[in-house]
Amino acid sequence: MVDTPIGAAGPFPGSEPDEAELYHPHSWLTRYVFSQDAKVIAIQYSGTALAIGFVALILSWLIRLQLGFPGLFSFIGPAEYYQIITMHGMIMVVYLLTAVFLGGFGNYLIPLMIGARDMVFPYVNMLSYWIYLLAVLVLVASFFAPGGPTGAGWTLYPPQAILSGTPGQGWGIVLMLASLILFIIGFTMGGVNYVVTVLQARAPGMTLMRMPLTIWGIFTATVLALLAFPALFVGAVMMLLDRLLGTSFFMPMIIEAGQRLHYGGGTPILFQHLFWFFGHPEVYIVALPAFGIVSDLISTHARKNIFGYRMMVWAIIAIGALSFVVWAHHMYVSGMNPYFGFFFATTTLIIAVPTAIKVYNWVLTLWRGDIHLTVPMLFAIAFIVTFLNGGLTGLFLGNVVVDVPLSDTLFVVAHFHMVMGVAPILVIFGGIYHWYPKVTGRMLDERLGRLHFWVTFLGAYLIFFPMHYLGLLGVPRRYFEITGLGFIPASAASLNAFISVVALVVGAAQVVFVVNLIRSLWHGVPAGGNPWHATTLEWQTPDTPPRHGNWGARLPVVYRWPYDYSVPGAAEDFVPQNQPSHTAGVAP
Amino acid sequence: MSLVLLYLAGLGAVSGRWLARQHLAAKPWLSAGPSLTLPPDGGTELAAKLALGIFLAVVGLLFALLVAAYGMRVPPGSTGIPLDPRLLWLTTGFLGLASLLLHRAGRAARRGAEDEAHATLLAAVAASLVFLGGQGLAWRLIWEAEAGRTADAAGSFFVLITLLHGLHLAGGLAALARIAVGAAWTGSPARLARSIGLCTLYWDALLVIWLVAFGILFRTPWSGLIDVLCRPPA
Ligand code: HEM
Ligand SMILES: [Cu+2]
Repeated sequence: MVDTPIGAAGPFPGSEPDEAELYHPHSWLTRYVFSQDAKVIAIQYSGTALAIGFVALILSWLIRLQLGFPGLFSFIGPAEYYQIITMHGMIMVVYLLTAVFLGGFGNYLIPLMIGARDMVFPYVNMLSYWIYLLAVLVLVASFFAPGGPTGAGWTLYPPQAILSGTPGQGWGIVLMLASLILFIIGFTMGGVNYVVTVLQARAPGMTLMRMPLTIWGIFTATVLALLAFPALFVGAVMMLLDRLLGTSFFMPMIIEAGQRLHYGGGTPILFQHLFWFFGHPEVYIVALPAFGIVSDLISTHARKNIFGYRMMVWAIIAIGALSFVVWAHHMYVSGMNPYFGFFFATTTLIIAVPTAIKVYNWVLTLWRGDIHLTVPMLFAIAFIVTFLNGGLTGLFLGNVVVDVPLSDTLFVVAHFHMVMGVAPILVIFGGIYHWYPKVTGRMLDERLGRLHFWVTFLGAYLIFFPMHYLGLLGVPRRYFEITGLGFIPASAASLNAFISVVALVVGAAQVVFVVNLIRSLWHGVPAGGNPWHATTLEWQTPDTPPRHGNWGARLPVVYRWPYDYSVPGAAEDFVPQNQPSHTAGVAP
Repeated sequence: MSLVLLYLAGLGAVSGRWLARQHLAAKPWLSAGPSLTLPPDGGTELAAKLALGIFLAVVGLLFALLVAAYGMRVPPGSTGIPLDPRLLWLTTGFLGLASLLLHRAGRAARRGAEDEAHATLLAAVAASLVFLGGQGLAWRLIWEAEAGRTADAAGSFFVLITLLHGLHLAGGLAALARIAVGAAWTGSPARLARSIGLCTLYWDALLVIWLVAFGILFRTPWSGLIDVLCRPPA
């Protein structure tokens, strides 16, 4: 290893803060509410997303109660059931996961991990959050609108999405589409910001190949989102025009209740293309940040450098690029040219290669590591297992002949919950347990954390593992009630009831998490600046929680990659990225 | 969707070329010490240019998707839009004029002739407003001919595309108006020239997008190309 000891001053002309460019809050309102500080915006994003996520969690309870104990609630009829699953799915995917990973983790971690003072365009960043909040409020408004929220399914397929047989055809669908449009506008503002910040505002010495994998994941996911959301945007605008102005982009000629509607000539399949052109990359918009965060959690808590860093970076890029050429695997049953089916099945299976590389590398990182089973580490390991599990059933479904009989059964529901429901949520929890000490200066309670982990992890398996089996039996997805299907044995009902009870328990366990989050603000053990002895820059800030501007008078200078754990001959088992020589003590 | 994939491939090629220069094969664990390759200086000028470039790439994708949708939806025998194209040639002329004026204003600002730059900017704002007004008129004419509601959908696409294009231009106008007014008192010609430069890039891009859309909506000779690129194979 070649160490070039250079004083912390360093010959870097650009390393002095440009005071004129920094934004300064002048009042309580601009500091905490209309703040332009990425750290505050991150908290706002995460708080809003978790709050709306809780709504989606309650909705999942209602779904489960209906499926497990049909008829228990008189207020859930078929129409309400559709509305509930639609809102549950859409909130979870877009308003919770996307917002937490990019708006929450992205805003907090990008400037801190690359050694910047803030995002490059703080004002636009602030706007991004407020537009997101507006999108959430519009979505929530649809619960109270006449006719209730839309029940079109989270895929919103036309023509049924805007026909009168679908619940929420009046206001619900309009508010949903408007909310999505707002969400995309707000996200684009944030996304351009994240990308430019990573490209332009890195601290001296922070080359791309010295960026933590968390940043690589968030960065690539942001690029994907910038390129995927326009398709949803176009689809949403076109459907809105079909609904409000009577155009026929997606609407074929339709006879409804004996009446010929004024629509004609539209192609519903066009919407499916647009939706999945967004929808599949969306899986990776959620997964790539999770991949990155997990890599850093594992490396830190196993006190070992990440195995195959370069391969990890390349795999992130490769997965990102490939994710744009697989979308039609969601449309095998929509009817397509058989050669297309072959093409999309092949590309789908090819994605498994870089993904598998990542899984191997995580396992090899753990191999003979000095593993500390901290709460973040538990969640990270649970993620690997769960993601692997969901990925394997994905290989089944990627094949046309296997997908056709399984499509629209609970097998699909179990698959995607494993891979993009449970797995990313586990990472969000792991990330929060890991970075909470930096955000607040206090540790989360360890015992409550373990309780939360085990109930959530085991519970998720008890919920979704048997669901695969129900799917194989042929239990259809999106059914309000299963009656008159002779091929489904009566025992399926007991299994459904069991799953529902577990779902209640898992949901309730999340209260433990929230209590922990709030209680630890005051009663948590003081964390100090770097409780996990981590190498990355966010743990080397002069203050914890970091102040506005992050770095005090001087930007950090980066001397090494982020994975110098257990370096032979070093004084401690980690060498921070801003420490010039590995034999020296901890950097001042 | 092949058109969209082509567009993405283009973006991929640009980013690939950039990535290829980023030493992605470096072995970061071997090279401790401050790296020789400093990240680019985070000057706000470069950052703003980059941000605009990225945003325009996204906007371009948006319109590529609309064109692809057009290809999949509008039947090959479509009669196009029931509208005299001369009206649109006129509006197109004004958008082109706005673009030209912006180029001039930029040159004036770089020369230090602030007053001239200021006046030219206002003229560009006016020309853009005329463009928007003309598009609105075309919108209404099509709407009244009920073409926006036919199964042919060419009229609907006209409404959709001009609407989104117009909204993007309106957003730009808000920024431009701020500069035009602010230019009176910032007193830094260099900064003024920079801001005008960004607007010029944006206007040029919207002009190109509009020309492509115009060509497609009126089924000019290059509409055949669209058939090849966007029509889904049966
Ligand atoms: C608390 C844990 C969760 C439970 C118990 C749960 C349960 C369910 C159930 C029972 C369904 C309906 C299946 C059907 O009959 O079609 C469903 C649908 C869905 N869930 Fe979840 N879910 C949970 C978390 C999540 C998460 C974290 C995501 C994020 C990706 C998610 C995304 C979806 C989606 C996209 C749908 C499909 C909605 C539709 O068919 O339109 N769920 N969930
Ligand atoms: Cu997919």
